[in-house]
Amino acid sequence: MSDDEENYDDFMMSDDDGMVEMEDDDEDEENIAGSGSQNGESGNDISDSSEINRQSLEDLYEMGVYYGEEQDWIKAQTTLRKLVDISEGDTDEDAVHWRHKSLLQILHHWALRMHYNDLPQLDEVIPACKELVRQFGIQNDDKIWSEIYTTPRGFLFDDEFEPLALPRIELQLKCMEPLLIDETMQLRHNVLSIWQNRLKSNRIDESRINFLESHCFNNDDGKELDTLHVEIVNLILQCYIHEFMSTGKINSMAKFSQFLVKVESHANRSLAVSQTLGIMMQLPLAQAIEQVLQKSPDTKRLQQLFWSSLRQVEEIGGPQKFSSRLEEFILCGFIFCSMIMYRENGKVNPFDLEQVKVGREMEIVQILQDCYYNFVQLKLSQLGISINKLPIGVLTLLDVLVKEIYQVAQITKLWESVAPLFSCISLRDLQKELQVSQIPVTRDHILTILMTSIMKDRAAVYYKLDLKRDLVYFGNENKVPLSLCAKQSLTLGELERSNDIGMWHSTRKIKHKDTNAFFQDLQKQRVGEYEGGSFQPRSSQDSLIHELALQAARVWSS
Amino acid sequence: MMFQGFEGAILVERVNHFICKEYGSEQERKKWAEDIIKYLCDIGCVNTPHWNKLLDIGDFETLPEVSPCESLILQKTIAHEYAEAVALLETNDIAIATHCRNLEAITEILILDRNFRELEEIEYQITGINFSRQESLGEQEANALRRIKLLLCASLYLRGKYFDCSNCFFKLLTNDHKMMDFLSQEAPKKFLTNSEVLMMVQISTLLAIPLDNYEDFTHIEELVPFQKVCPSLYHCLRLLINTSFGKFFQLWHGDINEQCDQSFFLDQNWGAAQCMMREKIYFFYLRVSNYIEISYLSRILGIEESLVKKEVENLINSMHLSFEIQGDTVRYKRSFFLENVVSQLQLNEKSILSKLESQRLRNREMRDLLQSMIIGNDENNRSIAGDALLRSDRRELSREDSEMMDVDEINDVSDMDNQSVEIGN
Repeated sequence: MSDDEENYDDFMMSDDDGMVEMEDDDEDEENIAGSGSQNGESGNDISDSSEINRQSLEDLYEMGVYYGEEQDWIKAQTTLRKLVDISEGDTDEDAVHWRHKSLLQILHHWALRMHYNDLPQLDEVIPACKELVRQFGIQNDDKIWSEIYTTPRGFLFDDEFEPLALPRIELQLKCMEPLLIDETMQLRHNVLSIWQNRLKSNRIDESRINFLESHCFNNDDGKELDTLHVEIVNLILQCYIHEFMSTGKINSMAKFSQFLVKVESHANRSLAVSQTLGIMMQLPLAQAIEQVLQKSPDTKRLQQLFWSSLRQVEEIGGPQKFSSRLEEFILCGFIFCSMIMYRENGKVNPFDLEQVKVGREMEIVQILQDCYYNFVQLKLSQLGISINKLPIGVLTLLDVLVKEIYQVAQITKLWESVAPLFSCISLRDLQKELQVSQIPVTRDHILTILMTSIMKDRAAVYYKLDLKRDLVYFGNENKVPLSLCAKQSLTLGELERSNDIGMWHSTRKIKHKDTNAFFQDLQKQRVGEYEGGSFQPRSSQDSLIHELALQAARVWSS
Repeated sequence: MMFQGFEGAILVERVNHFICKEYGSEQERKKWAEDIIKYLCDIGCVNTPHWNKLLDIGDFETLPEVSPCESLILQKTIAHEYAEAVALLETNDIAIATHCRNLEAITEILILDRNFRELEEIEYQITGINFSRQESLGEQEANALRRIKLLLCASLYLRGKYFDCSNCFFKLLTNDHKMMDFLSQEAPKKFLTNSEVLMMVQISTLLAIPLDNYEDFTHIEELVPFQKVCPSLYHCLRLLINTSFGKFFQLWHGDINEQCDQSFFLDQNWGAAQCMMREKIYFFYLRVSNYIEISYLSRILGIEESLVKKEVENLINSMHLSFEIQGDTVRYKRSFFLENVVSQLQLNEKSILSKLESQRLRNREMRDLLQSMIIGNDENNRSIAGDALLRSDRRELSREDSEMMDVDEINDVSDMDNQSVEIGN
């Protein structure tokens, strides 16, 4: 008896923890297992019904736990059930305590069985659920609910799922039916229903997403989100990613962007959010998707976003195979950005990075490597060929980047290898030089490249067009004065007009982050002396006058 | 309803603008004219310069009864007697608490009057209200102050000072953090609408910023929130940066044209602005080309050929560009800046030479005369002759000086022209 008492005390001490954290941590488990086997020895006579009433509830509980450990679900179930039945109506503190624990344990076993893909009968668990809720209510922080209403492993946007995922969800949803009066249960119900729709018909119910989204953030008072909410944020992110991966677009772009802003601000102040593995990968991924869809020109940021998701993918998935569509997407996105950024920041070869290196045997990595080197060496037609070897799905999703790569390659080739070599080239030849894919480069496209190079500050060599004979002349010798009048000699009105038209434009870029400085700079340009190509400093003016006099003399004598 | 939210003088002007521009069907115009006449009779301000025109269009057997006028200021404004209206407003006893609102009323009248000199005066007064005081103003006063500032900004557009308009607007936007919100909702009682202000800013910004700096402008971080307030500006900028000029002009001559045409304010300077944007793009093409065809420009920009030709020609002439038009081709024509003055120089040279020649002759004559006099040794004669010689010499010298000046002036001209010269791409 004294033995028992000691045991009991032991239990009561560890129980305080046990109540809060139902998940067995290791220490607890050992305790239970140890005492369980003890009880197993002394409890040969459980089947003896006359003894049952004397059996302490505690022993029954431990026995149930023990059977659970042994995965003898039926015995575990009957034992724990027995405990609940015996203590039914008993308001004694101990009785209530053990009753609560064993109800939780029944659910826990049920969850475990589902986890091992041994889909149990509902009639075992529904009564337990009902009873638990009736007697003890639904405590939101009860981990048991997360445990039995757990979502399938993997992500909503994965290509493949465990075979029993759908039947399990259906079971879970049925089991939830009696509990739907509770608000958090409704949230969970929506989460699982979204999964169910996805698995059943590959559709995502937008109204459910809206419901979750509004619930998640409607009391956005900056408090730490609880586990369920983190899970919901996670799921919504997955839904958006799934939508993009399967359709190439996102219908409610504005909502998506707003959502990302919220998630980011939560991630910034909440460890629970930022440290959730799924979110760590999905947030940068979703932001990358946002940027791709918005066709934002900030490739540097995009590269970083793809890079962080690539690193997270590795952390989640272990050794890289780059076999799923998502992994392909992230990898290609990262490499494409690296290509576009090559000339600004090409010191790091992305194929030297550990995360990419691990997959160097994979076909997709090898193709990407070809793309990269053809791009670096400005072999345009080979670049087109190697890019087209990539999976078409990914190319469609990253269409914006592919176009950008082609354009950057064309512009670079034009200014690095064509313009310095030729003093004059026909547009037709230029079209051939800059052809990337099978689609021929049009004359207008060449002109666009030439002109946008000015707008984007990429024209490295001065050029002039002869649009009558379709020629381009390269070189500074083509720099000629466009006007005869001097800026200083204009009236105010003329000066205003000529400034607006751009007669005195400078080719200098104005890289200011702040508006006032930008306009001040422009203002200075407008009123200041013309600083165009031929502006002569005072010191050389004498020689210039001399030269002009000579020119004048020539005109004279003619 | 198109005129919803407008009342008083601005309503009259807007209705008149629509009627002048022949918007809507004849029926609609008739209705507008009748409504506005009823309105004018109702407020007792029938003395408008548009009165007869409105009567012609409206169909009245008998005019509505004219009520007594309650506001002399309103009456004067509607009658275009702006100076008197302003004078009345200025002599009113104004409580400090409504100072800004009073000033706003004056500003509105001055804008109607296009009295830019007085508007500068207002601007001066406004700058006196410094930021800390602006903070302490009540909501209504602060908003009135904002509207005055926007009106002043708009007045710059009306004067064709696009750079100043754009510059002024973005200063307002970045100095007053409430301006962005203020712009996103229209006031119930409108004079110049926010969308009109934004359109002015859009036009001004496109004109004022050099093509080469458009991209820099879109990268100003501070203005990222503004992109949502005025997406159309950024849409245009993107088109222009990608040199999709054709698509840009579709907008420029399409939606934007329509909005400007309809607006009483925007329309005042739209013709000039519209043309200047075209010139800006023509100039860009001239800058990168030696040869270019009018027909090509016309096709690629989607602008009628005759208009392109006329405007390019005008651009070349008025800005003294080194291009000439031969048939369909615009050709770069390298020309020396002295070419135009050569003939004048030659004339000058001739006249200088002939002057020198005659001078030489005179000198010789003089010398001969002197010699003969010295030989004659007649003192009396000599002193008289000496006086005469000195006098004539001085005259000749000063004449020569002025000839020399001409040559100097030419040198001065060449000095300045040195700096005109080239433009890079």
